[in-house]
Amino acid sequence: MVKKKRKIFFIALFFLFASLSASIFSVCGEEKTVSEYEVKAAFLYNFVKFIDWPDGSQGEGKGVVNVCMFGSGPIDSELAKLKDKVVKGMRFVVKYTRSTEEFRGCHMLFVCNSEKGRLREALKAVKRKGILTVGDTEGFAQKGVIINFYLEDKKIRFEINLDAAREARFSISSQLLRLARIVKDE
Amino acid sequence: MNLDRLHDTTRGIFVFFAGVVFFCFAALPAIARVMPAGITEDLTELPLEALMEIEVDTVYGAAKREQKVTEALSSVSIITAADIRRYGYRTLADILKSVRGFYVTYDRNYHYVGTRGFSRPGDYNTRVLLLVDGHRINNNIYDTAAIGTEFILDVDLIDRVEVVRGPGSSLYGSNAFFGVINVITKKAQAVKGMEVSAEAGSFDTYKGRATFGKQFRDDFGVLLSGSYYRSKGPGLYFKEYDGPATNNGDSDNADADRHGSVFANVQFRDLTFQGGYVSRTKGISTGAWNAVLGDDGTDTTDAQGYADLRYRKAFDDDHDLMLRFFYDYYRYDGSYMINYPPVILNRDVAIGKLWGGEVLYNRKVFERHKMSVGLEYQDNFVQTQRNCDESPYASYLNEQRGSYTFGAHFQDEFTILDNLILNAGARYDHYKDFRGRINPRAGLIYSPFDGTTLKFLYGEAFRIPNTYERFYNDGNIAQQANPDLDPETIGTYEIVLEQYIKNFRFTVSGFYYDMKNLITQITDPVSGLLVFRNADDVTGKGFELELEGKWAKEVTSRISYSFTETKDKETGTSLTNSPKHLVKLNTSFPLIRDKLSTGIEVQYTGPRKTINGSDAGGFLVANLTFNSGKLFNDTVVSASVYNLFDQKYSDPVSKDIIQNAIEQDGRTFRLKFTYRF
Repeated sequence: MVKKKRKIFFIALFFLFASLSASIFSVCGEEKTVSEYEVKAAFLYNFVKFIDWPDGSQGEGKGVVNVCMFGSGPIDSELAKLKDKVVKGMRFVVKYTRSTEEFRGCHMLFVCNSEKGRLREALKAVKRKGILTVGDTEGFAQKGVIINFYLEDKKIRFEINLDAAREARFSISSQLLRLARIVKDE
Repeated sequence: MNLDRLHDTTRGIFVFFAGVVFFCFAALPAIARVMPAGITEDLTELPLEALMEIEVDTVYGAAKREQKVTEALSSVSIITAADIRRYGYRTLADILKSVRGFYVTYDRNYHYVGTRGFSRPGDYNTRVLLLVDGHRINNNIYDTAAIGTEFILDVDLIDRVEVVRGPGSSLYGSNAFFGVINVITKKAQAVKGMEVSAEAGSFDTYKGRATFGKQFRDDFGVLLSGSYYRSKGPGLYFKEYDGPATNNGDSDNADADRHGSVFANVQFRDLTFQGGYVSRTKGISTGAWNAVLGDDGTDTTDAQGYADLRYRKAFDDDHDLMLRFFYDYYRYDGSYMINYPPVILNRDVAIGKLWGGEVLYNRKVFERHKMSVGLEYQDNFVQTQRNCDESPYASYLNEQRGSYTFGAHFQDEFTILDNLILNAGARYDHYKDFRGRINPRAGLIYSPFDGTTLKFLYGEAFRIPNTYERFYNDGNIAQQANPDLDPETIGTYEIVLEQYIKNFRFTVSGFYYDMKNLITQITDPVSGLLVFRNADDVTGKGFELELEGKWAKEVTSRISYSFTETKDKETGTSLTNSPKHLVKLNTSFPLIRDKLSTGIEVQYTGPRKTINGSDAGGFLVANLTFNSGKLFNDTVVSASVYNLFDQKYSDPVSKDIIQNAIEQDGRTFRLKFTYRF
């Protein structure tokens, strides 16, 4: 009995030590675990820093980035939070589009998984309009979407279709390319 | 005895509260730093590299397709490669011990997984389905889900383990009784070149591994790996054998374990080939099956291999198809030194071979329905069991069997409202010698608010008696056959609440299950031999709580408590090897940024009844692991202490072993180096 009590004492001591060391050493967080889409929205915000839009399509004195969402999906409310954020001196505006006619004025177009069936139509509509297409559906990049999110080890990764980016005359910083998986057209 | 139990309960409660206090101590300062009062953290302020480090959760095994954890028709736990590294897990058994509501029993031959208070001594993990990338591992003789050193995959090759609770027969057929454990392997791109690892541990344990992985092109990747392990094992003493005729209870050189395994995964376009093989020989140090105690000639070899070829194609508008062919091989070879007298070598052999195919088709229909249809066929063309004495030769058993199974299933996920999903499915199975059976499952998943998910689930599952239970007898010396066994069935009700608040995930779940025709090993009152019978109806109920928190890179913590009560309806008593209380605590954090981190694990298992009704007391095990960051040349060093406080405890075992409970290892160590180039 005495021996058991001593063991309990040691265990308590161990906890105390572990707790203290944890509180002393735990490095303050640069990040927290959050919803997948909150992270994706943050990526979209960051992309703007590393991508130059083709001449004449963006930043021509207007000072806004129009982020458009095509279809419906859980990124919806997260995109809304980007509204009025400022990057490279431009203010974020978020638009929701239901048809390809509404793409006019968009700088970035997030194609939701729900619009998988209308992808071809959407890609046709953005052609030569200086619209950066982004998706989060397997196979989208190979079909011509410029940036596509995927998951690896439970972490969010993105792939870039360089051909599509070149064709749309985007210039992407090597800092961004370094982090991406490069894919080709199918 | 009563006092003892009281003491154990107090201890359980103490551990739980100590854990909660710890959680607050360790966790709260971390949150305080992440989020200054009143200011929510803005992810957009983070650099891309930091965003890429954030973990989000998805799960495959609950529905045979990738799914978010909150949308899965089940309560799911995920253990990742990072956890395996953080807590120094050596086997799948180590991994499962850390999972809410799970416990593992070891009789020094095999490891047995228990969940929801259920782990029958004498049963080889037949009521949990084990999959590797969707490939069934439970063999076709004993239905064994191998989770110890005989598991086909080196744990270092595991990307994640999804533990899907509740009956899964509506999707997977037999064996998915209490849950499905789906092991997802690492793919080529996760290795990027060559990786070698060497480790040494207590009891002269050594292990080496070499892995090559390379993504040559976008659509072509190769992963190859081989491992070798050997361990002398501890010297043991059993008081039940203490006598001059039985070596005074000493069993010194009989606990050796050695195994080798290879694994390959090649992906080319939509085709994936996967194959693996393992052979493990484990000395039996406990005198099980009437073998001479401490004789190093008594051991079991389990060899298992498979080849799996699959084609997966995702089509344009939301539908995908999977075709799969597989071949499986299993061989068990047991050598037992039996004192008749004289001492004679008795061989117990089983061989299982099978091939089969599967078709799976997923399709999204009318925006709000995700449907899936599957067909599966399996031909068990060899199911052989033999038993004989070597010299003088005497054959006791030569059973050559074969069987087949056919299954068809249909599932639909219906998004009724944006925050309400109805998920329903059923599977029809036909097994040779048994009538066809349909197992349904349905669940309602409701998210009233952001971050809150409520699940109401009901499911049925069954298990066909296996070849061993039906046909094994050793010449009617210790065990007799029972070909007339019926399948056992279970119905399970479950309510799950998952709540995400900031960095925390909180899960509460309650369950009730009702088992009929439980197949259990008993001593036949007439013949006095061991035999499997559809003996009992059993009910179980309980609840589980879990709090999980994740903060900065490498700072994670989780604590869980499970309460389970089981009842044998006939006798009105609780089951053997069924702990009422389980407490788990896992926490990991850096000690020196990027240089050194630690993982602490504490597990409390409440008292369990042994087969003769005595009490294998509750116990507390703590494990501690340190991991270095990358040292010169990409070398990583890891050091672990298991059972830090040298807690003495014993696990209840089957009737094949004279002892009621087998004592487990005390404090042990392991040092591991991993080098990449």
